[in-house]
Amino acid sequence: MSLWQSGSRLRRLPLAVVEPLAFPPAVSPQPSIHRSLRRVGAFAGLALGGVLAAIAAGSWGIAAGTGTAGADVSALANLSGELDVSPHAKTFLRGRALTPGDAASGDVRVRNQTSKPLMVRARLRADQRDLDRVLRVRLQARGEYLYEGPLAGLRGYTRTALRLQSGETATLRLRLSLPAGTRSGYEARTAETTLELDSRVAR
Amino acid sequence: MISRGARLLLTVAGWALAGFALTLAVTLVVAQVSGRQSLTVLSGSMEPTIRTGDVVVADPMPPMDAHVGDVITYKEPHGAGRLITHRVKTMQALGDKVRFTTQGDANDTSERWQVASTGQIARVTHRIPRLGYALGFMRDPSKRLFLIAIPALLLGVFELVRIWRPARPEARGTS
Repeated sequence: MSLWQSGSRLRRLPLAVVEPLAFPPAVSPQPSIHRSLRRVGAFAGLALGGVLAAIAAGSWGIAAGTGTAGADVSALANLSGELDVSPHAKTFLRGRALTPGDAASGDVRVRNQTSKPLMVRARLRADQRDLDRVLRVRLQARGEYLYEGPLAGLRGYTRTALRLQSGETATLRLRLSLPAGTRSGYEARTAETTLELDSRVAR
Repeated sequence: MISRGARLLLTVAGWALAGFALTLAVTLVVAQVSGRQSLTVLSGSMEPTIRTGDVVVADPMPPMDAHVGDVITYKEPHGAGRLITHRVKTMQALGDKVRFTTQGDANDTSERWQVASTGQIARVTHRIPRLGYALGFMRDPSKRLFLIAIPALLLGVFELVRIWRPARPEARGTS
């Protein structure tokens, strides 16, 4: 029995209401086995659902593409006032979806149509610079290299010149390749190039 | 009356269902917060990989990061800005543009389109089958009422059963 003071009067209150406040039980009542089982079951179910969702999410993954889009290359040659170029203004070299180790080559015939011997130099210009570093260029005539190196190096005219006598014809062979060790930088890239020729009278 | 074993089994199954739904919901929310998009597929052009009503999770990326074979989502260039999810067949960089050829797995024709190289596409990484139907159901205001009414009704029934059920001998005096 406990007492509760209200103002100056003492009131007797029922035990059931007051006792839990005044004397809380030292140990809370133990849950029954069934209640414990249901609680464990709930946790187990929740965990099971989470694991199942994780497994399902894994199996619903969509595989990423592994295909590599290769590099597309092309070249055409421009006319020069002194030289007859064939083919001109038409693509003479085309390589599609090149991957490391691949190459494409094409030939251009040039003829000195003047009455004097000419020193001919060439350069290769690409609209895009994406492949400047990775694309290898080899330009040769009569078995000799006019240039061999990266595409970026042929933006200016070749140092080596091809001597053409009046009326003489020579074949320029252009080869564009991706070295076998190239790892990246070529994927889906394009180089549409133009071979430009410069001729000066030979001394 | 349901036996105690069956009731335990129902408890486990119910909580497993809740755990499953909760994990998926949390995964979708985390994906959304981390910048991914979740989109409902409205057509069958990518079947059987992705079916109508599936929800796909797409990870935004620059166009040049795509690979041939990727399933990507892009904005239809000449349409009303519809989002299309198809597989990359070819891609080619042309100056400041990237030109793609894509095709749905169930389609017999491909489409060519291009996007600025500084633009954005998204690679589909996951799909959740049929979730789109549930999301569509929830978006409809009239049907959304069921989502409130049915749980409220079930809760009411549960409470009534609990009130009217005779107390078990071991439960007496502990309420």
